[in-house]
Amino acid sequence: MEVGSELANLLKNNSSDNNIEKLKIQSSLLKENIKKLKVPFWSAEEAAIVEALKLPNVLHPKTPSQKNKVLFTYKTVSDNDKDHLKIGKDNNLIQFTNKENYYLKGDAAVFELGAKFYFSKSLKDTGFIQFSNPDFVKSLIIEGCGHDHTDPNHTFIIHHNEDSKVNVDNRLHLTGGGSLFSFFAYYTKNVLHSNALPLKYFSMGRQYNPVDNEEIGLFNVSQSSVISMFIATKNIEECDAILDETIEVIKNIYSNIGYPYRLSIVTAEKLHMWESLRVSIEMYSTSLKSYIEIGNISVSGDFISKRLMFNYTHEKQNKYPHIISGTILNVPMFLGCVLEQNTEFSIPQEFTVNNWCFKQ
Amino acid sequence: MHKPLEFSKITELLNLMRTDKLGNTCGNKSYYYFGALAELEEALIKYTVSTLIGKDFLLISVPDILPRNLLEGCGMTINTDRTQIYSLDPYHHGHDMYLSGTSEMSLAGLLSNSVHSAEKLPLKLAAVSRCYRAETSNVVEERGTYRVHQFTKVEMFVITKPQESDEMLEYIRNVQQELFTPLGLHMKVLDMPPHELGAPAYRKYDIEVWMPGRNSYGEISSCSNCTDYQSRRLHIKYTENNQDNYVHTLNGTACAIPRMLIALLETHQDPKGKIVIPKVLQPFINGNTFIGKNTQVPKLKLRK
Repeated sequence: MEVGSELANLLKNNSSDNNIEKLKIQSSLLKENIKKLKVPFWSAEEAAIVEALKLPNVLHPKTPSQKNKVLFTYKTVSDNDKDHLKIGKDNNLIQFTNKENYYLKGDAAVFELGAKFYFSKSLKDTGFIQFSNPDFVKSLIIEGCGHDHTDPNHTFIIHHNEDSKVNVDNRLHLTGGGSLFSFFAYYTKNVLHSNALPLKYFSMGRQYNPVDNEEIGLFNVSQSSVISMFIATKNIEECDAILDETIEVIKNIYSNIGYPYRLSIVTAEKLHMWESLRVSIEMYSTSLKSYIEIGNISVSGDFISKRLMFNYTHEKQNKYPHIISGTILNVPMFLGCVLEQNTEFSIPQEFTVNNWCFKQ
Repeated sequence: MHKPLEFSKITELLNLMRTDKLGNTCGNKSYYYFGALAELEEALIKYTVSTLIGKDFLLISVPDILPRNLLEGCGMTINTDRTQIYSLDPYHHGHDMYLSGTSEMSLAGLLSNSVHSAEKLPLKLAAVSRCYRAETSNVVEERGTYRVHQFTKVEMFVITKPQESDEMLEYIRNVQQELFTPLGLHMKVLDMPPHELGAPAYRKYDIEVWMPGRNSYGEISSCSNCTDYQSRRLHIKYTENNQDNYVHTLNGTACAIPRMLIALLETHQDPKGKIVIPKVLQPFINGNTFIGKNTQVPKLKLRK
């Protein structure tokens, strides 16, 4: 810049100073240097930001460090030696080929739909709004939600059969309309007014997850029918208050069905990088001899909202909503545990076809 | 005289759907239903499935990711690059992961390599599944959510003895008419000529309904008799008097959500802008009689 203004001065004074030539050369050299520097500077910036984006969310003060904190237990479990896959086969309820390919038949299929409809009704009764979401999202949503979009163990990546060149950062991913991704795809770059909050949504849909576990059965499948929840709140205080309310809602929904379950807050090392707290809905599996997660409620605060520019305005200020989300029901996990209960399998009253319609 | 509005206009006025600016986040032709429209989708599934269960269809929950040989056995041709079918990236996920375009394929797959005793036939199956279709269309008649890449569909799939398949096709068509007539849609059934049939089909009916907003008929359903095309490729047999023979396979759409919603909303809009819910669906949507404007989901506003 200095060279430029000196040059301009000299030109204005019309002097025949041979400084002019010198400065002209100097100026063009400098411009060229800046140009050359831009590229490495950009890539340095890109590298630094991408690394910074790998930093995990801050922990919620209620997240325990030593062991899971059990919040609530409904009924006690009694142990037996049942295995859901064997029961499923013996009773012609499940045909299992591999983790990507399994069928639920007859009452097991009615159970799946009935469970979803029961949850859907219960959530609508408590003020949740129903969504029906797309199954694909682009890479930026995967990355924004705190996953590695290039890692095929995180999400299924759709084959690129367009004529255009493959760009690793702009792929289509099969995640399912029951995934958190599709809710965030809706709210990416969205601006709300503060009085629109809180939002309480749910969707009934699929979830597709690559699983690399060797174990065989419904606890380890790539495709699940789920109920997914998405709540946007104004700030930490509202987020905590609505979390407590939501836990009560979930308790009522599950207790009403009648199977033993418990709710626990999981320890920090079990969290995904985007989570600050997770309440795990657990049932006991007698084949695994342990509790397994059949659903969850996650708090991510403003972590993903910031990354995907979901914001709201309050008194002319831009703020980021605090998010509570969760797969509050994973049907194959749930069905697996239900088949391993002490009693014979039958469709719970709440899920039967007769109860799919409204009665006066 | 009130001029009927198109589905996209109705859903915009009542704030029930988003299709706008989703190319960068979900891919083109994506859509979200919300509020009463998502509830109506659920009501249609409940109505359809409970009707089919009442007619002794066996409900099946199916996988959406299928191997290539199954798709080909059902009569799909898979080209190497540009194709109607989505697949998972072969480098990352292996070479044999295709997304199902219809549960006809997964239901046929369930029965592959099986032998059924004659007295157990016909076997009538039904499934609710997500369907994925890569084909795109730029024709104006297929604008909006008329042709989409992903949708929910209730499908019927039946196997019969060869001599019973003609009669079964009529039965399936009757079930479809029984399902659609109470929805108050104006319907016509077309007996499709051979050049309109896919490779596996021997005979096919299409059902078209009037879509007043679009001012045209649109296909909402079809049913086909594939005779032994699929059963020979997938080895689905029955046994009678100690003799094995190939079954006939048939399939039919019980409810394909996006076009059914277009037909319903365009047919039952009233001049004041509300949507009247057909009586048979009301018990499945909490007793509601109409759909009004949704004020609970905020109007979309995006950052520049």
